[in-house]
Amino acid sequence: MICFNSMAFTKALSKTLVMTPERQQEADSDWEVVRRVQAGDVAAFDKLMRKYRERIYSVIYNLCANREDAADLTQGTFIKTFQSINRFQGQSSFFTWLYRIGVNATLTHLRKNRLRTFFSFEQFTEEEKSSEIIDALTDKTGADRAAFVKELQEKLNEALQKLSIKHRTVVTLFEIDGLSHDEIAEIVGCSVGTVRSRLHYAKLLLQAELQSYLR
Amino acid sequence: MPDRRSQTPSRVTVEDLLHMKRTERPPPEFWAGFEQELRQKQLAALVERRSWWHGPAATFNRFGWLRLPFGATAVLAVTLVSIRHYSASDRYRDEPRGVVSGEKAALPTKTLKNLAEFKPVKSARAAPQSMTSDVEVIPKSSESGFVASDALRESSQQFAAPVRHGEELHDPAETSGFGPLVASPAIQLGSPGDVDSIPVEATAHLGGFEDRSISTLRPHRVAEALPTAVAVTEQRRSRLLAALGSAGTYTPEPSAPEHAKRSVIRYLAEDGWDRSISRLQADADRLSIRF
Repeated sequence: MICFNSMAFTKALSKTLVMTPERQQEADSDWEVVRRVQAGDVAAFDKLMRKYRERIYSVIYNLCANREDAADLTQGTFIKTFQSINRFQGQSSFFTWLYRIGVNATLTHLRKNRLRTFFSFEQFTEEEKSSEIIDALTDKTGADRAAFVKELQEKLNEALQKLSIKHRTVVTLFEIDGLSHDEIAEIVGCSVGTVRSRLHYAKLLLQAELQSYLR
Repeated sequence: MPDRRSQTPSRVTVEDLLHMKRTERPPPEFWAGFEQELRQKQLAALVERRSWWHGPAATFNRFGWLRLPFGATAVLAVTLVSIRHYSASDRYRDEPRGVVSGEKAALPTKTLKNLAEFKPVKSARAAPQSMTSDVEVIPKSSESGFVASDALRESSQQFAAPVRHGEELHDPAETSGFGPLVASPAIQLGSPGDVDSIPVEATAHLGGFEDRSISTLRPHRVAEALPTAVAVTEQRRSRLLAALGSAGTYTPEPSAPEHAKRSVIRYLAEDGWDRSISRLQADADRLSIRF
């Protein structure tokens, strides 16, 4: 019976997404955990939550540009996922389903609070990659460098917030979270072509906004 | 195609800037508080009492696949009902018909003005199929109006409604043409004097008939028409008379179309209109006349 379910799940996935082997392996392991949760092992849900909380938070945070809202929406996403996990039948991978819940909740939140926007951002944590970029942008050091990084962050977030919700979603999922076009199309509920088009348009807008930082 | 960035390592693209956003992460302590809050919210969600409509909504969603057939059936039903309704209206438009509902309460105060407020039925379905025109029939009237008699309602042997050329029916002891009609199986009206012609000049301020004058309308002719216009059996005649008597007055059907009202009043205004009655039928609260 388990083999049958597993096969059906893999078949359903192959219909919807062409996944890399890593993604496939990840989806299979998620499905196992989901089945445990559906069987009544509530603690198994914590495993899923810990695995995806940072990514979900990151996506929601970049969409709504508010730390507090992002935390609330991430918690709400996991609660909703937990409540409806019995309805999950493995038609898509768990993380796609989870992302869809999170993105939809965020979009609903943003539409409801369109006129009431407060921004609060996390700090940049300078990692190797971002250090290289900052080095390429400036040769300042010390406090000047920190001020430059802060200014860059503000400009970047400002430019992102100028995008429409749809374009911001695609950019966030592709460039920041690193999902594929197929996965984004499934999460957002549109065609891959639409995703590519939105992405292209969004990048043009961002280029125009961040022209002074592009070298 | 060689990577442009490898050629110019110092070049920064939009993608590079966006990748920097990955480093905007909350501190590790944030997640301890996050998890604690999540547990509390999860518990609250578990014990939260769901609204009453969650059950029906869930059931409805479970049978979501039935929406299409149910929707199609509903649309079909509405279409059929509409077609039937409109075809009935068309049929009605071909024949003049009017319906006057019985109004039992206001017996002696109705005047002839009310007659002109006859309003035919809106559609054929509103009246029994055998009815084509319901007309206010009041056994005896004053000069300005028809007045139905209480005596009829009481199935008295003698119709005693007063006939006056006044606004109201003042004296029920006066006889009208329906007295003998009720009393006699042969449907004889009272003396012509009793049911004398009622000059009906009341045409103005009458709903739908303002422009038309009803020159002569004698209420007793409705009763006279009983044996001539309809093949009246004893039983049928009794029923008609009982129906006439059960309603104090007949007031016009308010929802009748304009053209039907005009047709009815045209018939009623003509001399010898009663001879053109082809059928007469009474119901509990309305009288139908087919011309």
